[in-house]
Amino acid sequence: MILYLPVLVFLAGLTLAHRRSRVQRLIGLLVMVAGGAGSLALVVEPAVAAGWALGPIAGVLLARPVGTRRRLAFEALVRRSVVLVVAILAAGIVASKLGLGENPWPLTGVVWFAGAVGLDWLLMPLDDEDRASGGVLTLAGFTGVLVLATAPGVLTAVVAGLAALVPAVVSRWRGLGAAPPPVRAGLLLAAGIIAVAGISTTALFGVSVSDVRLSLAGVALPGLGIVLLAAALQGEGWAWLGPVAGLAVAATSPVLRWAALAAVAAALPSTDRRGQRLLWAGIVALLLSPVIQVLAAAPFALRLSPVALAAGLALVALAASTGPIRALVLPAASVQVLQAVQQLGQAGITRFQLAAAAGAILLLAYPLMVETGSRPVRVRVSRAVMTAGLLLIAVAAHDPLDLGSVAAFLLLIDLAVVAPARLDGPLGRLAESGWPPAVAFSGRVLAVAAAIQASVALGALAVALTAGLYLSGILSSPRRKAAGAPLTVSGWTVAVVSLGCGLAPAIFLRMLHV
Amino acid sequence: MPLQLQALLPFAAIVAAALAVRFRPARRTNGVVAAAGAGAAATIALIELVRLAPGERVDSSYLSTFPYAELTIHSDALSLSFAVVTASTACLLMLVRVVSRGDRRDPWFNWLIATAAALSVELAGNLLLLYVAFQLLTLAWSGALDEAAPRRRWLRFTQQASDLGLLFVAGLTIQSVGTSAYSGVPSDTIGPAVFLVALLPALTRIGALAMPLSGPQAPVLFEPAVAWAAPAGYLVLRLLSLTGGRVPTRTIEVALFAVGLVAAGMMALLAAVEGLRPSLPVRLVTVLALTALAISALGTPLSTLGAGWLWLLLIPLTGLTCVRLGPRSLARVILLLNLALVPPGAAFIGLWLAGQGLIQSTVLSLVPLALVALVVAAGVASVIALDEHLRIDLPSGWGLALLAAGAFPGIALVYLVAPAATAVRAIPGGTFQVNPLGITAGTRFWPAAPVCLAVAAALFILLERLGTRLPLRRSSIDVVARLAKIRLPKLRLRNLPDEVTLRRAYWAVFAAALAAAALAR
Repeated sequence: MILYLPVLVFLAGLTLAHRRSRVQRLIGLLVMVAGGAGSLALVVEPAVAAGWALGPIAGVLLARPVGTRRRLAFEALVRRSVVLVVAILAAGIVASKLGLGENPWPLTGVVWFAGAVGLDWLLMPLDDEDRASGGVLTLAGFTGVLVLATAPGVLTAVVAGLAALVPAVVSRWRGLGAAPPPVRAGLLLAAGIIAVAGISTTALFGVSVSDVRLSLAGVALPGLGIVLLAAALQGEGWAWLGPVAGLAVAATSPVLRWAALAAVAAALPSTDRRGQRLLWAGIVALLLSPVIQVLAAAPFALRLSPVALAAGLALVALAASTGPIRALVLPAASVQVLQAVQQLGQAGITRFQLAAAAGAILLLAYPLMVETGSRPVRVRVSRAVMTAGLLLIAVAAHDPLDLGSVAAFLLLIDLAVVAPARLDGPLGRLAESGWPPAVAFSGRVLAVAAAIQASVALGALAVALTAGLYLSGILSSPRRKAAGAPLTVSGWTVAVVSLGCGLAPAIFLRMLHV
Repeated sequence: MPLQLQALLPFAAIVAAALAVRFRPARRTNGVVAAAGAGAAATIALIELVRLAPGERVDSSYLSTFPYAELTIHSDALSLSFAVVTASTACLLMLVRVVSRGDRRDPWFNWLIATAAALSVELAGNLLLLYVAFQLLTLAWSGALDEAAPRRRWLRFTQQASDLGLLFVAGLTIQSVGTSAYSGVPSDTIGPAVFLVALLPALTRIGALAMPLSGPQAPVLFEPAVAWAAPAGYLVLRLLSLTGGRVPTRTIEVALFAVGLVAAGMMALLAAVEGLRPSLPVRLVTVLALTALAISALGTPLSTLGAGWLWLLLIPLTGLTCVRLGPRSLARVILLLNLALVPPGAAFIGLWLAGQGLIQSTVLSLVPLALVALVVAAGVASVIALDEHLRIDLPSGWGLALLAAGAFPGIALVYLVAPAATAVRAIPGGTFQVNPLGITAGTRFWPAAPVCLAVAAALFILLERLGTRLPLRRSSIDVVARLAKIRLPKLRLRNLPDEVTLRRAYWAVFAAALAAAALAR
């Protein structure tokens, strides 16, 4: 009986959370978190469960309900209920397929339910409160799934649970305030130090605190540099998310990596509903890959895990038509997938390449689907999406010469750093263009070369994407020359990064050998 | 002087001239400075070519900043021959622009950069660097830093898209042999399909030559000769050198020969039918390029010599067509003679050499070549006209120099064409001999000097006596003109499905593809 207590507690909390009184809603949310903690305590370890629960509890209290909820109309109520039930059922099915040992699936399924409910509230919110609570529950639930699957240490669980604070903080303070110049300068300096260190030394970088380990070996080093640079150069409040995105790249624990990635996604402004749904579909798919690897039966895991990786990156790439996602989420997700691909066997790599090719074809076809916005907007979006498709192929190439990794980093710099900058003047236009020696050109060339190493078909697909990029370039409207507008410091930085990395992409090969 | 420094000298000359004109804007002497820079580059390349031993090739490596595209200058006879002719043509175009009137723009810096980019194409040491150089060249001649610039955007896109074929081939060679350097690619690496894909950049640039212009808008156009004709010819011969001097399969050889000649014949017919229009020289230049392409496919030593002659001649002839000439100027007459594919035109030498190679297989194979030459000759003869007052100017001097090369082909053949052809495939000793009167290939002797001089003299006398135009009946050409008016049916696309259906299909296909990936064995 005690094994079914957590799920009963969770369902009770879920019922309370739908009440109109704000006190009841608050209690309901806390009870739901308690149900999840109870599940983890019984399956993993009480200390880990307690550590995990700290963050969600703080998040629920921070994003506490305000005021009495309005009564819903019948249709809205029915729609909301149906979606919720479907989400819980889907979570239940997944939980039953991915059980842990002899534990009954309703016990291990509590965290799945929490994640599903949170995702429903996050993507179809009634109001800001719903969105904030949904964000907290989503992060709490799915990090709980990872805690369940990987049984990390207490400190890892605490840090992962703290990720659930991020959507609450953002909601409470109405978005993140603009980072002051010293913070952005600090991030820029950190990115520069990373670049210099990566080129000049072969020592492995790593730090461990208790069970939390950060490592900058392999692709993590240049990946960290890119996310810090992108955070520093983008405006508004995104600079604060730079270190969080860096954690998504540098952490060795899959729990921390996913938690940090999801925290960044949850903190970004949610103006585009379709983009949000695509983004979270991709992030959940990225979650599924390590979970399937651990919990599913071996043949099942070998088939599904690489496909989930590729699908997740494709969906995130599709959602990355807007600036913030492209600047932070996409680089972090790409580096995570690169790291995961390196662990795959040959069969897994082949399957990943097939799924990545399917994703790239769909990204190539995406421009036909874009129906909103003026022509320049559509062309800009198409260009970003096709570059992301090329990125997907570069990640999938996994060639022995490491050209795919180099190409992936170059394309990430183009997507996350250069393209959003909208530079002017001859130097700026060259840096943003697809002509040599801009970073976009070098990335495309190396992506094609790397894809051909994998297979001729993948190479042909890369060529088609590159041709599409050239076509989108000429279809966009010519930019008006800003009369004598000089480049700002940020503009110079972007131009130097673009032309420097485009002229000498072999520096990434050196960084990858760290 | 170290070899690595010597290889950079042509670029140094051009860059020095570019810096000089950049820092001294709007000076009257800038044109001369630019021409001097290009001329110096041509001279340096010629000296390096002469000093090169037969069959020698030198790779000078500088930097390894780009994986598998190390900055390497490949100096062999093929690259240096093309560099000499390209830089010389650029120099002459600049000089013509200096003396011409009616255009106050200052194009020198851009022209010098385009010349440098063209030389980088010809001196690049590996296929990946060659692709990068092609992109630099497109950027240089178009000046389109903003990729959305409206001027000639579709031409830029066509060239960029076709250049991807070269990138594809470079990737394949890296995959199979670990390098794309010319020195490291065995002759059996490039298969038939790959060969055709790699030819795409050359084909699009030949197509660009055929673009219907209503005569040069500016007094001088720079890019057709330097940015299109030169790289196209170089790429064809370089690809052949990588495949051992022959097209990979007999089928491709026959197909390329046939398609090239058929296209040349159709273009020649079009030129003959259209008559005296400003686009006539453009059409004839395209005929020459397509004929050179067809001959390149044959793969015999003599046809390689002939193809080399035609490709190298194409560059200055294209340059001459890009100069605005009067309808009855001496330069136009000389240009048309050179393009006529019959004596006294210099192009005939290339056809004669290729013909000797064809005769060795079967005489019938000469027929299509001869037909093309005859149609072109008929078209030229029907429009050739001469002003009463002869005026020797720089373009006519240029044209006369080319006619002279056709009349006395020995020097160009021995010092430019034969070394370039030897870099493509082995030319056995005794394949040809030269003397002041002509050339001998096998057992046949072509008395180039007496024939060319006699025909040229007779033509000029006829033109003067008959009132400056040959009395050629046009009735047969009118019949061909009526036959040539064929209308193609217009293709109409049916309406696309609506957005919702498209989106559903889109996600259904994606899900199916993922399922297939998961279930695949």
